[in-house]
Order: sequence, then structure tokens, then C-alpha cells
Amino acid sequence: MQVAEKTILGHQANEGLEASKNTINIGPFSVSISCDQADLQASIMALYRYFPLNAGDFSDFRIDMTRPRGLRRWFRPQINFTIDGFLPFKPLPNDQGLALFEWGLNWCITNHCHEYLIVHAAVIEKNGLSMILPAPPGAGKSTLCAALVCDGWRLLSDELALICLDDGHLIVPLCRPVCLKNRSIDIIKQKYPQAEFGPICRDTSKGDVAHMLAPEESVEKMSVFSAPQWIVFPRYGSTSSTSLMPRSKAETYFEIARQSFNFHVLGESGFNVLRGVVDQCYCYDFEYSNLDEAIDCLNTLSFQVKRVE
Amino acid sequence: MSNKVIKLPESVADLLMLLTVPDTTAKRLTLSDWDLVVRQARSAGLLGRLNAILSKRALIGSIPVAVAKHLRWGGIVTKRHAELVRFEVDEIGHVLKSISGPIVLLKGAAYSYCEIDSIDGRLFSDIDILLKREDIGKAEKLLEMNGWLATHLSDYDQSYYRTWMHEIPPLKHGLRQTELDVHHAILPLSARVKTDSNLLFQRIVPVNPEQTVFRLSDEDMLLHSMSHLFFDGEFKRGFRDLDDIRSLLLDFTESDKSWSDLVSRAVELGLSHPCFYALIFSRDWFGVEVPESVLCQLKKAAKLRGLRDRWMRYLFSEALLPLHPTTTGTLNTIARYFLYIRSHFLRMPINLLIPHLLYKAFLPLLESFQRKKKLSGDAGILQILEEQANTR
Repeated sequence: MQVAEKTILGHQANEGLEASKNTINIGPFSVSISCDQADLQASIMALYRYFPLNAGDFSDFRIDMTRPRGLRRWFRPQINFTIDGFLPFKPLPNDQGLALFEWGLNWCITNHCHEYLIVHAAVIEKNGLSMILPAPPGAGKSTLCAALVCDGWRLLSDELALICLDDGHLIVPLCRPVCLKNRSIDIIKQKYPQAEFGPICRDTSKGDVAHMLAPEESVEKMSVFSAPQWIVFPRYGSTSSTSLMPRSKAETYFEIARQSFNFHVLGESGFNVLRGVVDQCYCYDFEYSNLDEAIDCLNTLSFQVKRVE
Repeated sequence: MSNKVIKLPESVADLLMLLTVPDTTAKRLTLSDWDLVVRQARSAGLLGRLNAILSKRALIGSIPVAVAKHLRWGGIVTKRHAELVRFEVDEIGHVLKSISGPIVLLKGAAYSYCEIDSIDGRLFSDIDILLKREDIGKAEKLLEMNGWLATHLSDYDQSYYRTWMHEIPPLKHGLRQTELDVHHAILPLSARVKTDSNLLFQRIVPVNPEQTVFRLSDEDMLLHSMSHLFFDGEFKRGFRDLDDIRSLLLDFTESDKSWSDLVSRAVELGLSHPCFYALIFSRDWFGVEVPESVLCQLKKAAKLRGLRDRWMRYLFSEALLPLHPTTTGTLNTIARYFLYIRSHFLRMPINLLIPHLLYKAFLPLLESFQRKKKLSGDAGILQILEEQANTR
């Protein structure tokens, strides 16, 4: 008896949330989002406003953004990221909900979607060929990615490069917003006034964070996979002069393996995919401080290599 | 009769049916049914299992593509786990080749290494081995020399494990991060029920060609799995563990072993109580055919009567559900809590339990105090370094 009663209650609670549920197609995934606060739901939807909605019965991830019960619901309110009742992270202050959603979605993808080799890297495309920019945080990867995207490159991903395990090693676009931190936010906003931004989350664990929307054209081409051609390790240094130096394939291999989220899960197939990708790419170390020079340099690279091909 | 049927939990009915009668269920489910099944299976750690079950019956192609994708992802993880178990077990077998007694694989490591077909696609979190108690000291040294390091470093934890538990403090490999539990018994030394490990060693079965690594006999493997689930207080993976038991049971009933072997062994090892509940739930939730006489014998041996039996059934029927928002609620949380407390009473008598709980309750306070002390020490060193730098 009690089992049945509780079941009904469980479903009711679930349906209550479904009233405000939105399902969006983000790259190859369908993600359902429900928030118990209308404004957070609205800002998430605004960040993904060019993405197609999904009215189907099935979603890959069902995410709830809810305020915790108890004291922290009202006193210095917090927000939780929940997937099927599981909390991968501790709650964050309520006004960091947007950043928490983005980080949480990264967690969902990197922990489950093992039909791709997932690397911590930005991916952009020019002339039908893509460039992988793997880098540890602070290397200026997102800033460079945002600038190149505003300069006409197609955005495939800012955080997670999804590499297919089959022979082509194609990159699957996610087109999620580009996450900019601290000074980068103003630099990109001033340089590209046409770029669209979400609200700034202040004082997160990574400082101030704002998300630049993926351009509409990139989102429209979300289902078009792309062949990787270059692997470029960017490093921003305030006094660096722009330099693009060839990098050995072995070093590239190890660094990407280190920046991968599921290399250890994929075992042999992960090893083979990574070998294939590194084999087919030109690999470089890239230092820069001046963004204009950096853009020119990589634009030139995209043509030079094409002619060689 | 007294062994009346426990109601099938409606909230996970589709998941249960998919595990037990995959052919008809896979064809019946709508996309929105699948949506719930996939989410519950993910919470229960059963995606890889479902992948194995449906693949074996060539049903993967007939289910929706979006669903098959999730099962495949789960399958990739479990396949990798199986590879790692094989690697680690061979490694452990090699490291411990000079100990005198056998190395016996327990639980997940045994199912995986022996490729027990009916449990294909199972997730596991650590490797459990059983050694003779006299081998433990030497084994620990050998493992440590080969990179397996102790995880519970506080003096209290160390002495707690060594005095009262059935295992030494868990080990973790420094490079590969795999966890290893080294047991010398299957139940804590302080527990009310005592199971003589020598009885287990008498029936072990070799699993590698060198005959250095073993598993428990069929019935002992079953009984260990049962005692682990129904004596323990952790039910996070309870649903998955129950599915293990029912899979082992299906193999057991298909072999030439008889139910009476299982019953007499359960009584001999003092495990008739968990065996009874494991069989009841396997029968009522998973449809395993268990003879009524078997249940009656076990119930009698375990001295389970009336109210207490009904109460336990209720608690288990709550706690064994997968941890998912569609199955859990306040009553469920309370039931899990009751069983958690019960497991502590089963594990140690009250005169040991109270000091242990008090210690654990105040441990965070104690640790934060110790950390502060340590931090102020570090600050002192920094200060000295800074002063040195200044004078230079």
C-alpha cells in the first residue's frame, strides 16, 4: 500500500517540475531543463536561443536547477544542479546558476557519452577544416576561440571536443556558448560589439564568468561534422610576441591524452583514435599577446596549409 | 501461507520487466517509457547490464536509436571495467604468488574475471579478495611494495579495521587508483553472525591456469552476495546487487546443484536470514521460481516470525529500490536510515558500537582542530623562509 502511495507522490512531484520543462537539442544531445526559478530558466533559454527545441518524449539528460530545501533557500540563497536526483556538485550561490548549469552539462557529457573521445579543447572551423585548441585553464583558449569565431570562423565547441571513434575521426559540433572569464569579457565585448552575451556571473570559483552566444550560423550548421586539420596549443603571455612553432606529434599525443576526460574509459579504442587524429593533423605551439596578430597568424595558417594539401 | 508475495514496485515495473522478460518488454515500451527506464537504470548502475541483456538477445537493433545509444555508452564503461579487473587480478596474483594460501576473488571481481555470463555488463567499483588470516601480514607487505597503499591512515581507523573488521583498511594503487579490499572473513569479527572462513576455503574453485587465484563455490558465492546485501546498511546499489543475486540464482538452478544444497550450506554458514530475504525478493520482484519448502526451511532456521518478518520485508522493499526521484520519498529515506542503523547493530555489539559512533561523530571536529594546528605550523615555516629571503 505504502509503496503504491509513494509512487504516486513521486510522479506528482516530477510532473510539477515538468510544467516548466524545456528540451533543447545541443549538438548530438537532447537536454531537458527545468528550473524552479523562472528567471534562471529564461536566461538559460536565452543563451541557447538559436538552438532547436525538441518536443519528443525522450531526452538524453534531464537536468533540474533547484533551490535547496531549508535555510539556504532563503538566507543567502543557493542553487543546485541535479540530474535524476544526483548532485555532482555542491550548491553554488543563486546568482551563479547559469555558470553552474554550463559546468553541470559538461559533467553530464564527459561522464556518460563514451562514443566520443572527449578532450578539453575548443574547436573552430575555416574552409571546411577544423582546428583543435587544447589547453589548460588560463592559457587563453576561450579568448582566442571567441575572437576567431567573431572573425568568421565557425564555432564547433569551446570546452569539449567530441571526436568520433570511427575511422574518419570527425569532430561533432556542440556549439555551446563560449565561456569567457575576467578581463577577456571586456576585451571581446569592446573588439566585437556585435557579439551577443549572457549575464555576467560575478565571483565564481573561476572569477567573473560570462558566456558569449554561439553565432546563429554556427548553430544552424550544428549537424555538420568536421575533419580536424590542425592542433594548436595556444598560450597567452602578456609580453609574448606572436609565434607559431611546430610541435612534435609524440608530445602532442601525450598532452591531448592528458587533457582528455575519457581516454581511460575508452582503453584501446581511445588510443587508436587519438593516434589517428594526431597523425592527420599539423601540430603547433602558439604564443600570443596581441589578439589582432594572433587572428592574422591563424587565418594565414588556414590558407597556407590548404594550399599545401 | 506465511510467505506471501511482496508487491511488485510499480515505480520500477518497466525496468524490472526489461531485466526479467526482455523480449516482450523491449517491444512493448513507448519512447516515454524508455525515457524513465534509462534514467532509472542509470541511477541504479544498470545501463551496461541492459546493454548486455538486450545485445545477447539481438534486441538492440529493435529499440529506439536514442535509447540504444545510452545502453551502448553503459556497455563501453562495463567493458573497460572488465578489462581492468582482468589486468588487476592477474597483477595481484603475480604479486602475491609467494603467499602460502589461496587468493580468492569475491563479488564483482569474481563475476567479471570468471566471465559469469548472466552477470555480463556489470559495473564494479573495487576489487575484493579473501586470504587466509595468517597470510594477511605478508600479503600486505607485498602489496605495499608493489604500489598498493593504505587509504585510512588515522590510528583509530587502522586499529578499528584490524581489531574488529573482516578486512584490513582498504588499499588503493598509487598510480592506477584502483581500490583493493583484502578480507580474511566475509563478516566482521565483531558481528553477531560468525561465518568460519575455513568452511569457505574448503570448497574454492580455481579460476586461472596457474591455479593461484580462486573463487568461492557456486553456493558460497551466492550466499556471500546475499549476506553482503541483506546484512549491510548501504543500499545505494541494492537494486543492482539484487539483480546479481537473481542472475547467480538462475545459473545455480540450471546447474546440477539442488536447492537443498543451498539451504544446508546457508544454515551451516549461519546465513539463513539473508538467504531467505534474497530468495523472497528474487521470487517476487524478478520472478525466480523458488520452492515454497525452501523458503519455509530457511525461515524456520532464521527464526523469522510474524511482525518482525513483515517489518523487515517492508524496509527492504523500500531500500532495494534504485535511488531515483521517481522511487524515493520520505518513507524511503526513513527505511534506508533504519537499515543503516540495523547494519551497525549487526556489525558490532552495543558496547563497541557506542564509542565507535561517538568517535565518528566528533571526528570532523577533531580533524579540523588538527588541521588548524598543522596549518599554523606551515605558516611558521613560510615566515622563516620569508625572513631568510629578506635578509638575503
